Amino acid sequence: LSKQKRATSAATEPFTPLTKGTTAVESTAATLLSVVRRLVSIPDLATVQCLSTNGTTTILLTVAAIDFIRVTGEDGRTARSLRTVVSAIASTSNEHVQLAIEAIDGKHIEAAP
Amino acid sequence: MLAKLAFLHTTDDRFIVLSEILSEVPHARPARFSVTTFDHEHSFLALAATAGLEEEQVVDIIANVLLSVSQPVVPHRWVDVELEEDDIERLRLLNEIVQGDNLLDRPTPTSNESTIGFEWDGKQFYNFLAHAPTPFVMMEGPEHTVKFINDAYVRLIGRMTDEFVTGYPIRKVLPELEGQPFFGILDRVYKTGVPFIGVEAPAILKSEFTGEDKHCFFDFIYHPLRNKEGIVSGIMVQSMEVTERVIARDVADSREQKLYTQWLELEAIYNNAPVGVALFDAHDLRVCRINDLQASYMGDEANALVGRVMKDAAFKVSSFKEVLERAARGELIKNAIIKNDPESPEEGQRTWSVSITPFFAKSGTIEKLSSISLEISDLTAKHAVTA
Repeated sequence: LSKQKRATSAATEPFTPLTKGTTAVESTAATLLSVVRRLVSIPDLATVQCLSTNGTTTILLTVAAIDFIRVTGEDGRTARSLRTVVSAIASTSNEHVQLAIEAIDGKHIEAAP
Repeated sequence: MLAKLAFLHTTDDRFIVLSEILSEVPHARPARFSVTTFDHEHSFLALAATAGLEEEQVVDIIANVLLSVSQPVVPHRWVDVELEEDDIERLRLLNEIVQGDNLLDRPTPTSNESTIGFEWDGKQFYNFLAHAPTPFVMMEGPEHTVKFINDAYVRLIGRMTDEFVTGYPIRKVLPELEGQPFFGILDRVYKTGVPFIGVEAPAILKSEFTGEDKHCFFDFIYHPLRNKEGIVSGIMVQSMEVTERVIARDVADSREQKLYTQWLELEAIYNNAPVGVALFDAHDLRVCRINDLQASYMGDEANALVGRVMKDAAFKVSSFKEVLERAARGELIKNAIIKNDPESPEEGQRTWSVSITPFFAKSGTIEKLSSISLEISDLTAKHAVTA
């Protein structure tokens, strides 16, 4: 993730819920957020943001540092599962969406390969 | 109709969905049970995400799948969802129907039943935990009353004995943790039955030895303990202090940042200094680092010179090579005056004041030569005119 993207993310109000159903990507992001909030210990700090760069749409999922391992899992297994879910939901609207995960402290980043 | 789903995965990564589908009319039709195997949980997740279910049900199913894979528990978590026949088909839940046999009530073989050939009773387990060097604590009830704590955990929380620990609610044992996230997490694990794994969680504990607050980091797991009915009745905690690891990593990060800053500073000095600066290997006078000004004195560009071994012919100024060789033998050169050898009258006479410092390795051998050259051609010309 570029610094620019992270700066955009940091500027987002952390407790603002994403508006559902505006676009297919935002709807996918909303579902993802609902799932993630069931996995983490501090649900209020979990946020999603839809970023578009050079024609590629990326959902940036941000969680508390303590929850990073819970949404990535051992060896990234949970992260791969979340990517499967995101791809599957987005594909129903012929969208191609990537998922990047970062901790609020910015030290841990799990980006799509 | 109501469907109860549970998920588990095998060691060879197959993913299994257990389902119990109840009839809409009670007693009209027996419940249907099925066990469906997928090659990976991703196959089922993709089906669940695209089956057209209500969003709340999609979220329920996906969250439980992910928790079941990353944090498996026995008895398994069950999720209740309302499904139509079409949904059941799309989720492939009845591919392998097993009628009239409630597989879900079958006892799950434990590891000692299947592979270990000895009795593992509670007393042995108690002794094992009591003497383990790893901190363990077991708490009971919604107040998290400490029922068991081993010596390692007593030391971990900075207490001298377990006198005011065992038999007390954890909030009274560790009042300094109030306001930190741990009690809330314990409550949640007790309420939901979902284990919690903390990694490098920061905490502030009060040491009975020093009376001071201690800032530390822990890896830990809060694992729910269930009674025979499968209801959560307590929590087992295993914890490990990782403060040294966290601090060591932070120090390493900080040192790396400092080195990078110093490198940037050095780079700026090299590029902007009004004198020629270079670093040579003392063994073969290979150019390790050089700025543009020094390179111009040597009749070339910096990029072309870095890495080159400076043979005799490469030195436009032969006396420069001589002072480098003296420095390579250990001599500190200070303000040596060197002049060029003009090949034609148009080239003109140029003069430099050169200082060279040899750098010694721990073994005492000279490794590098740092040179600084200041051109003083104008000064010497004026001096000559005055004379």
